[in-house]
Amino acid sequence: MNNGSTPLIHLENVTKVFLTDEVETHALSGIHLEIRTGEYVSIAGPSGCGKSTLLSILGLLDTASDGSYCLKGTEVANLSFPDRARIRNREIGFIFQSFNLIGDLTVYENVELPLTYRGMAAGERKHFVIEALERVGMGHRAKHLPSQLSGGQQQRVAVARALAGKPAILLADEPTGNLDSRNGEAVMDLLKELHAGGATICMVTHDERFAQHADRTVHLFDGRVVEDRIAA
Amino acid sequence: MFGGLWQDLRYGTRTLLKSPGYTAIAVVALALSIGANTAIFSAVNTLLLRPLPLKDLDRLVYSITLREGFDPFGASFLEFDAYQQRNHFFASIGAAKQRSFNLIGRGEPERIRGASAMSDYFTTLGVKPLLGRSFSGQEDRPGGAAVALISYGLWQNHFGGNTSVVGETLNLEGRIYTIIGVMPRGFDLPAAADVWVPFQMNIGSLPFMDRSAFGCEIVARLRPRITVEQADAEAKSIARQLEAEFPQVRRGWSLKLIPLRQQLLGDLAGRVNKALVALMCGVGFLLLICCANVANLQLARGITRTRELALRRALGASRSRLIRQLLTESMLLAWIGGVGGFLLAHWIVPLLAAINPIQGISLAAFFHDFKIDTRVLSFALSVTLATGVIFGLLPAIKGAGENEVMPSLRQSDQHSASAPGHGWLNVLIIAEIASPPTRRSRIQTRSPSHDENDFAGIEIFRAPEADRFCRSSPRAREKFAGYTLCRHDDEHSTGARDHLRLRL
Ligand SMILES: Nc1ncnc2c1ncn2[C@@H]1O[C@H](COP(=O)(O)OP(=O)(O)OP(=O)(O)O)[C@@H](O)[C@H]1O
Ligand SMILES: [Mg+2]
Repeated sequence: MNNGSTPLIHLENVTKVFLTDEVETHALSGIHLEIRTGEYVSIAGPSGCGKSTLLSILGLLDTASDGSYCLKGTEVANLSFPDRARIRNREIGFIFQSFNLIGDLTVYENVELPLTYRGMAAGERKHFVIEALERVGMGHRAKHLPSQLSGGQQQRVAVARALAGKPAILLADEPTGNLDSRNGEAVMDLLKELHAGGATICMVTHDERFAQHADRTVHLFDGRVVEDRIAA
Repeated sequence: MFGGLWQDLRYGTRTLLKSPGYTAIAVVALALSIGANTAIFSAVNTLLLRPLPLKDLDRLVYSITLREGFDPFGASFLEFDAYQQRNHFFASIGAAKQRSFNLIGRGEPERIRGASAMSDYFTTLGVKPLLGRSFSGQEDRPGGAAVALISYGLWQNHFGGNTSVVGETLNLEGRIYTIIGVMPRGFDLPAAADVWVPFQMNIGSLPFMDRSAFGCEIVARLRPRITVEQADAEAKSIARQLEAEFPQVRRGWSLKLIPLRQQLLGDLAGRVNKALVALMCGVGFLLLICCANVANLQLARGITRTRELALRRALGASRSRLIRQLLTESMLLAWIGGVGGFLLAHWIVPLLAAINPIQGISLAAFFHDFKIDTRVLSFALSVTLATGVIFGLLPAIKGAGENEVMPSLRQSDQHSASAPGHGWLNVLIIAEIASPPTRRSRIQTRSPSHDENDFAGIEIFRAPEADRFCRSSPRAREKFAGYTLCRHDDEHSTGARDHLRLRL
């Protein structure tokens, strides 16, 4: 771990309680977590332990019930929703289990979308999109629709979309969950490559093999961090 | 601000094209109702709104004489005299008498319609000649000069629209009149006059028989802030005085003042106005119903698009940005409907004109000329814009989702098939989802083929269904190690189908 400088992400005593039909579900209970720039963190744990919930809070898709979350030294709990959208757009790149490409948009347009929302000029967007697509080896498929691609290819496009805007951190929730092992490995290799190139990554995975790609593994159990291990 | 507009438009177009059935239904509904509104409005415009060559038409009244058991009559000079002497509510009053003349010396002799008119007749109407001048007081006295005013039509047909017409002469019934002016285009009161000569009579010195004979037309301009009802009440009391003074000719007679517009529309009972307002309300209501229905369709589509919309939020679109996008789509739809409606109106309006029930013969150039002018155009435009906002805003706000993104993202996993409660709107939503048969989901398992032993196949028509199936059913998650969604086109089925492969 780097030391000294402010961490990219700093969670302190973060809890998340869901209220459904008067039943309280404590998805997260008192999470402490720091992620520094350039780290590759994998989050592991049994189903229902709160991994996705944690990731959605990190990605400003959801708000913690309690505790403090500083992103790049800024407390984000009190930000307005439009501000959160802006930060999400600039600082966070998402990779979902089910790719989540928009079926009506071409590969190019899918990757372009976050840049459009950033208000980037068309010329600049083009540059960023092509660079991102080249990086995941999908430059030749820019005009295709997602339905014309294999699952592995779709996920690579999703990775391109996540990294196109050069976010501070990539958040991936079981990025290989919908892929067969060969395609899963390809995506994992891609993430590893990106990390080697300096990207900060936080990934949820069930798969032990893939967890080892990361240089740090955080184990969750019942909404708590039970182990935070740096790979040898 | 407008940076993303082009993209929103492009994407909106694609969204509309993607579900042509839905788009067609919405466009047709919108076109019909916008078209009906535009067409009816063109009638309202023609009959009630379009400016006429008369000043403040709505301050002008027309006097009719009533007798039980008889159709309403015109007026007589007896009334004119009485009004002039006794009324308090008229700013001015004038009269004219229809006549016809033999026009001689300009090609074939011709019978033309005309009138003898008091100079006050024109000042009361507030009409000024296009060329030259109107009758002076001097000319309107007994023994005044033989002068004439001609209509725009006569000027065009007989004088080629030549401006040197003022000062030329006209032989009417063998008498030579000097033309002193040309009336504005379309003006032909009373009736359908083409030529006007001064009245040149002293009413007081007319024999009683002539004075009490009907056949003159009285128009009056109300004083400011005087209502037609007030003036009419006074006219009734004047009628009673006349009845008392001349029982031999006036017994059982009464007077009524009606707005001149009503008289021009040949609508003595005042039904046209009400009918038009009722019609306008009717088509307006139709448009609202149409808006509600299209809004429902939009809502239903918003629900099927929850995932996509939530995803856009996750990628950094603010709610307002999404609302803008959805509203752009609605506006696009409204525009297409609006253009369709406008074309439809273009086609209906001549039909309306053909069945125009207006019986008045005066100002036919105005009242019988149903057309789409700039006012109708701007009406259609505003209706289109308003329609887009009315049916688009609520679905846009709903579609953009909660402030928090995660609930929408999760929710989208559960949605796709069943719509959440919107009360009575549900029926329509369900109809929308269920109607195109190709969009119904059909799940059918396929026995594993020999070369893909570790797969069970499931065919599903819609990706969200497949997704939902795998995500929401814990049993599916337990049973299958994973799933892959692919899509292939099947020549035998109606379109692309999603194909789900479950790893055992
Ligand atoms: N919107 C919600 N409403 C109620 N409970 C929720 C909600 N979201 C998550 N939970 C609960 O919070 C807990 C953590 O859920 P989460 O999705 O984070 O688990 P996970 O670790 O990602 O599991 P998996 O590995 O199966 O994806 C679970 O018990 C879940 O039921
Ligand atoms: Mg999860």
